[in-house]
Amino acid sequence: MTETQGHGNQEGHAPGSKFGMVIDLDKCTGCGACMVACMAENNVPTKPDETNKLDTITWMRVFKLSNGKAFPDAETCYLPRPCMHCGGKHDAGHSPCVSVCPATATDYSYKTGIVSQIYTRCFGCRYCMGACPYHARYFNWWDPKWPADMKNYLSPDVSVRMRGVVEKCSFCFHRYQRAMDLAYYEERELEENEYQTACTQACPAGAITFGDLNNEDHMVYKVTHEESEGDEILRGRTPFRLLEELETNPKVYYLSGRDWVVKAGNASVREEAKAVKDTGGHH
Amino acid sequence: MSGPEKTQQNGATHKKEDSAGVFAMSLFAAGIGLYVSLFVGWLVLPELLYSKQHQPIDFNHAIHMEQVDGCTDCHVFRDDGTYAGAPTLSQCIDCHEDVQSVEPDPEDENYEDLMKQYKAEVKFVEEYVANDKEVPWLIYARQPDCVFFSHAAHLNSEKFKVLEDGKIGAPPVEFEDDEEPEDARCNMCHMAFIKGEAVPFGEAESLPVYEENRITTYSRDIWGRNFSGFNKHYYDSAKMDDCAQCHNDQRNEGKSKDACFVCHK
Repeated sequence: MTETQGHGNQEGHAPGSKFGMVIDLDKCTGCGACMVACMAENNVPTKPDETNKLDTITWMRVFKLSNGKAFPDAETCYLPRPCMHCGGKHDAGHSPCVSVCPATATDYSYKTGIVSQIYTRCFGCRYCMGACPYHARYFNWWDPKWPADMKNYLSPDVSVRMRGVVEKCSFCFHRYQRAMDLAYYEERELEENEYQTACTQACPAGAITFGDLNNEDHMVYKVTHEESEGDEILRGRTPFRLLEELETNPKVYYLSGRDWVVKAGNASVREEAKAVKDTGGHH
Repeated sequence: MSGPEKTQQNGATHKKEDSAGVFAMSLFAAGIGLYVSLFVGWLVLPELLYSKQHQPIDFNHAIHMEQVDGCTDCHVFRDDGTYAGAPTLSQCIDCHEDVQSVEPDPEDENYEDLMKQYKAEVKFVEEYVANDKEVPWLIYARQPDCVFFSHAAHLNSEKFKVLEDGKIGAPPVEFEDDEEPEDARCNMCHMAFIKGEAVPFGEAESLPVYEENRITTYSRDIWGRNFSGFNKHYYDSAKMDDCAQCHNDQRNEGKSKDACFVCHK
């Protein structure tokens, strides 16, 4: 019998795995395949009116950014936004949402670095939604409804949610569970890339890379470590995370060679507030 | 002391005695009420709360264990590492396409037991095999939809230790030549509760009565039989706290009860 481990000792306490994502914004075409794959994989129901963004649930959401310039200088960038699985300062697990949840319905795993959401424990106070600076959490205002035949396509690996609870991207954690199941069965260690998220596999442009940020051999590690900057993976592009100033320590990294995109991703809350103030509240 | 004063005093004494008597009676009634409530709460309600259902076929694990190498010979794993649960008809047909056993003779020593087994097999062949119909087994260990459980991890992990009699806090069993029989691990969680006794499923000659909570629809094997909630064995119940207890004791060596996503989906 063996103790199945991922890179970085899955079973032990330290250092553990730290699953993360690198999204190449210069490759993303904004096709939305990641959103579709995510919804199908995670039993996210559709609504009769998907244009109502206060009601729709999109664990993975593609935002459209513009540099605000007129033709011919106009540029567009599409930014896919899953849950950032924030580790908080020093990866101590003090994610904004985890810190405020009064029901321990969301917690931080030190073995995978993934922020969970347990639907049966959530009672829908929505503090986590208020705390999340990335708007990655969604509230079920209604019970899910699927067209009759679509019920047959629901994944048994992901439990469906009822009205009154919050849900969010789980980095397709059920795929990790299945991958570990097989690794245990075959009495071997979990192989890198054996656990992949649905959005990663669905992206036709190959813009998303998913892996263990603690695995020195993996692309996600190289991208996210300073000593790797300038190598052939980055090719002059800048890695950044959204709203780093807040020190939420997200596990989703973005790459772009365009300065305005990097600046938009790093939009400073203070500068934003100053801009609003300077323009008399019109922004 | 004059007559009326004496009468007044006597009256006050009578009143005191009366109130003491009422108090004593009330205390007695409250005590009886408490015992009745406890009796109803602990003994009557559990009987009403759980429905009792019999399995469609009274399967004899003990006989079958003599023919196979271990639990996973019939309770198989799929190639992707997932656990298939109760065997399907196609597995049983390998041996039971026709009735295998011979009708017992009334003069046989264990005639009644043998007849019971024979009838169970005949019922299985006639009702299910002949009609190509799956047996609707009642699953004692069925967990809610939000739970993920990896049989592969529990069967193959080095951290999972078989404890003496499955008792919480007991020392691990030391097997001869480190050869751990497969069912030893299974018995840590799966025991057949027959007439109040916990019997390893592999040794059970009949299936226990399936008790289902009428409100939650979960099996009593999940919620446990001890209403106080204090368990002596790991197999006494399989609620979230029970799993967390074992994960704390074994998987994490007393350091943590694990993250929610280990067992939830």
